[in-house]
Amino acid sequence: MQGIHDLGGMEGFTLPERDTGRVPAEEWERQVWGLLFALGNPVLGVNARDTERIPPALYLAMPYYARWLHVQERAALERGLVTEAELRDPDGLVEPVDDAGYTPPSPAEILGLLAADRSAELDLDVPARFAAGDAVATRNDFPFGVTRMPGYVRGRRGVVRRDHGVHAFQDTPPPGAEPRPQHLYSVRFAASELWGARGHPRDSVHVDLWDDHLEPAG
Amino acid sequence: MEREPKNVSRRDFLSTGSLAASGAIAGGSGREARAQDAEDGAQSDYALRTRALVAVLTRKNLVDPATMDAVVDFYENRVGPHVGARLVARSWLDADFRRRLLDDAREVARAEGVTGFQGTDLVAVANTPEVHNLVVCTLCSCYPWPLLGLPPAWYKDTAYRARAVRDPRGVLREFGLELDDGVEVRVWDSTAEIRYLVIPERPPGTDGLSEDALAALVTRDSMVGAEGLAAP
Repeated sequence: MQGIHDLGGMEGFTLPERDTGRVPAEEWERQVWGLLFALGNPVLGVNARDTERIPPALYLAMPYYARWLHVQERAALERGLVTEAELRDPDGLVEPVDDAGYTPPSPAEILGLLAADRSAELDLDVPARFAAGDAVATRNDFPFGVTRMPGYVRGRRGVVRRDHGVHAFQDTPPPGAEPRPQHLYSVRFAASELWGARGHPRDSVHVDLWDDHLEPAG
Repeated sequence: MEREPKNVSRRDFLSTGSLAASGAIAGGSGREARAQDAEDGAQSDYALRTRALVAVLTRKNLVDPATMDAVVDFYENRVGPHVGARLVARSWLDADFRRRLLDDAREVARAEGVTGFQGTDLVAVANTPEVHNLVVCTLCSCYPWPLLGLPPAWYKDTAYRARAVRDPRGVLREFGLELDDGVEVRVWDSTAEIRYLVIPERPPGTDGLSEDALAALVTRDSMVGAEGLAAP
């Protein structure tokens, strides 16, 4: 699905000045970030794909941390962990969760997770369809669900520059198919291939794409 | 939920940084003031919603506030641009280290103990007089956290994500870096698991400086390619 999050190449946006202060800047933003790792991601399974499903007008209107607040609020409500009435009056009555023995993730557990050596490369013997130097074209696919191929390279020709090894395919597989681990490549697209005459003749954009995104090009 | 999308979306619409900054809303001083009011209102609304969510979850023993604090401390103090700056400074002093970093940054980072969420699968690219590299994530805001900490607001802004791939030279010009026409610009859109570190050019007038002194000159934004480094 080419959702609103797929922003590459869109026009009409005005660049902010580069901020140099603390990140996250606001106290509520720091809380949202802390919550994301203390509950949202490890327990509720919230991730960036959830932010992609925020309705387009709302997505553009929300600053970054508001999107993470939004998806965590939704997940907590949908799982029945909180009710709307409780969120309206957080100091009022709260209904205990029917899970007396539950212990929330501790600082040590989560810090171990954050610092762990977590390569996404898989130690699997999967043949590579392409090698550095191969000319490729991206498939003209409009998959349902998630895709990590940005819309601006769809149907474009490029050259494989590097094989990143075997990775889990992150797109939603076609109906009935299993997600298939496959090689991930760095593919170079000339700016003129992507943006026509407005692309500078020397410039290029490099995108990491999987075997299933690519076809050989002559 | 009940308060969404209506109230929040209307208020937020008047308050996004990019809209307000573009002048689309802020036409005159009165309208600017209104946009600022709306922005303040949205900020306080987010703050209230966050407080409510955290308070209820804490009261139900679903979240440990100490864990939240530890996460924030980790990303504010343990990791950050000082980590990436050390690798950059060493690459300026040690040709063999630089070669290994450019060849297989993941192995170098691993040997240096620089691993973690969003950054283990690392690729380093070097700026030279002929080539300038710029990193973006057009689909979300992927960023090498273990090396640079959390990304600044500009990196996550819809405008940067939209424009960096189409008009990198214009973006860099607005950020204060005018590139010669003869320089090649390579944009890296980090939409998979690979994270990118830009090795900026060593600034002039730094001969004889120690690794620590050099690392202190390396800015966060230079390691994304958003600025060059000036002589100290």
